[in-house]
Amino acid sequence: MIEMHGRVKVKTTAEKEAEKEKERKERLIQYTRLLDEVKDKRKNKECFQEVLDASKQVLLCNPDFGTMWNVRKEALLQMEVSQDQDAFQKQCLVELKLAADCLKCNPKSYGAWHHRIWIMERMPCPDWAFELDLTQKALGLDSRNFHCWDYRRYIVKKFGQDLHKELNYTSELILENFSNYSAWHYRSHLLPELCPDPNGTWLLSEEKRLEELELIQNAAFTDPEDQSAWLYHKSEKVLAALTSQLQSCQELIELEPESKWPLLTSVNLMRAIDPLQYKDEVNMVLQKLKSVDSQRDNFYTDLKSKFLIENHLQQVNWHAGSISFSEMSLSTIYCADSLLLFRVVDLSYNELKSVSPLAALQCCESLNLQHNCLTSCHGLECLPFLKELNIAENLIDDVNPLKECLNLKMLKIAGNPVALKVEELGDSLKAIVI
Amino acid sequence: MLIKDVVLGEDAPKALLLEKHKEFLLSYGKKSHMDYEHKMTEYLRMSGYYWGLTALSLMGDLEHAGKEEILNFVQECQNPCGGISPAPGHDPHLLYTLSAVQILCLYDALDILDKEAIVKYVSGLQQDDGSFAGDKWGEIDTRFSFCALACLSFVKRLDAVNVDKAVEYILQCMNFDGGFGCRPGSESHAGQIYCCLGSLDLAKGDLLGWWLSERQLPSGGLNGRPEKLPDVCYSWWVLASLSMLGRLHWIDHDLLRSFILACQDSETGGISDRPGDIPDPFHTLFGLAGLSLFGDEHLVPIHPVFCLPYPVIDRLGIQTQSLHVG
Repeated sequence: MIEMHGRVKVKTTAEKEAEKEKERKERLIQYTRLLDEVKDKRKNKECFQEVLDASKQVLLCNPDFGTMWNVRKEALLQMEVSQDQDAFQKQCLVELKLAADCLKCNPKSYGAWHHRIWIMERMPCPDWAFELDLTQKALGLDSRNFHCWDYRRYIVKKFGQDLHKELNYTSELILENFSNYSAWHYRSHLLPELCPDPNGTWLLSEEKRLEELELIQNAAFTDPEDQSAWLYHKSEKVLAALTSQLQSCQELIELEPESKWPLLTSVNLMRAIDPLQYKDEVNMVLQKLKSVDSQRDNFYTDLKSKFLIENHLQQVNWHAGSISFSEMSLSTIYCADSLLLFRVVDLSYNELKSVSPLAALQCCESLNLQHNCLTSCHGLECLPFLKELNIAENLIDDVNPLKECLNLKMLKIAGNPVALKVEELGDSLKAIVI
Repeated sequence: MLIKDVVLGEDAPKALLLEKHKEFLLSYGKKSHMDYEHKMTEYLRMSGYYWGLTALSLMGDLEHAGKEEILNFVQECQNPCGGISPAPGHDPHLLYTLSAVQILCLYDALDILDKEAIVKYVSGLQQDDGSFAGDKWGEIDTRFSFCALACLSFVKRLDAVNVDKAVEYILQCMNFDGGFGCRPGSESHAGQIYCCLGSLDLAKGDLLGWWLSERQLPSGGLNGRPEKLPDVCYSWWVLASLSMLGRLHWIDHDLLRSFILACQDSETGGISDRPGDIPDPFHTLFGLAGLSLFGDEHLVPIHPVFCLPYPVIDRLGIQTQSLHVG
């Protein structure tokens, strides 16, 4: 079988290589003969048994060969009308066996999984319980095979399997191994269906939410470095028991101060409980995260900007007309939609790299972007009421897009590469540059 | 707990072996010891050509591949129904229809195929719920939604399908972690996320961006799902998705670069999934594509949605909406 993933390269001797070469030549001849056989006989409706025999041989060594599954389906459609039900049922069982054999050699073969569903759809007497049991066995071998999980969900639906049993199945798998992200994923779909919140406010009923949190907490305490439970936690963060969660998170941090997941979760919890009350603590933890998880340094920097902006917006006077985010070390702009109605916006002395979120400032007349890390002002031309723009002390070398700002009366560009070539600017821009 | 990851050896390559990779791709499948393997991979030949040719094109060396031969091959693979096969004698499928169209875009030769027939084939595969089947046998997958929408974007006939319905279906495949799976209820997977994001212009940017950035392991490599091993092809699925979300900087560039470089085969050229494995055109393309997204000076910039060089997309005059997600 040809598989492009995980083939370790091994050194061989010339002798071994020659032997292999001979073997490959023989296999090639045999393989080509089988393909020719299928091709010849496919057109001839009388020969479907030969087609089935030859394509089987091909698929067993190459289960991803789509056309081979197709020729089988053609033959089957023919048998469905030409043979009695027993004979067709028998052939369907042969197909299921073939698909299973192919999946043994490549458990991720899309073609084999689809063939199985296609057969189950047409079989005179499909055995859903048997299939369900089979997926359980297969997941016992690889509990993360998403094809097998999808097939199980298909069978569950067809069979009308009680979803509570499915939920119990995911519990078993999780208790066996907390890192089973596939099982956590399945729960995230089962729970809202089985235990919806009667008030419709949350995805889950309160009782179930608390139960679920307990399970997650156990998982987290067992292995704080495992991603699965923590990722799952995130979607369930807005809960009544947040404070006690935070407490246990902090206990965990005391035990393992360098462990990333409890740190990150404590941030999420503090944000959910009261962003303003915890604002300094959140900042501290983010700083810590930047060092223990330095690969995602930029993510934490952006997250910090997001929190600072959200905190600021919680305290802002919405009728003032002006808003300032000056000197907040912002790396990016969040919640730009909330700035829609402000006429004066000050974003000076930050670390902004892009103006693209500012397209939302549709009422802005005066915008201060002095001293950031902007390399382009492209995007600001879509602000229709802009009168004053300060982009001094950035890295901008072209202001031509601003020609389209017809109301612009004042433009500050000192301290940019473009400031060195004011003479090259068009008259309309030259007239307003300070 | 042990994190599933690999360790990069001291002797792993640290520079980009451009000339080696060109040689690897141009001779791929042409050496006699590869005859058997070449025959065995015939069922995906069209995609194989797309991977190899796009990789060459990122290295600015498309002209050394036999253009005439390839264009004839593509033409030979179009069926009366309009769909395109991976190789002559195989059945048509959306996957290979997209690969063929991408190859023709590289060569600016879309006109050699019957475009209306392609449009008819692709639009005929859309289902009532907005999803797409891969071919007439009915397998449904969000990968096929992407193939269909990308194909139609290239031939500028998105109007031929119900795009709203297509989007509605893809949104049904969104999960609690902000990611996407094959079908509603399926687990999130970075490859699938790429296909879904490529088809949408909205998403839960921060949550998904964060999930994607968590795909980076200490070795610098990226995996496709939590608790899985890193693989060079995810340099593409994850990076392209982050790029569409405007959050490419949430990955440590230098670390990923050293991982991709360590996956190069310094003897034969080519890039493999993990250091020490056998290289192939698929991983060679996605390794180079990842480096290109980071702006590698030796490579042509790549378009994050269509996985073709930017100049090709510009020449076609295709516009994509960038995602402004807060």
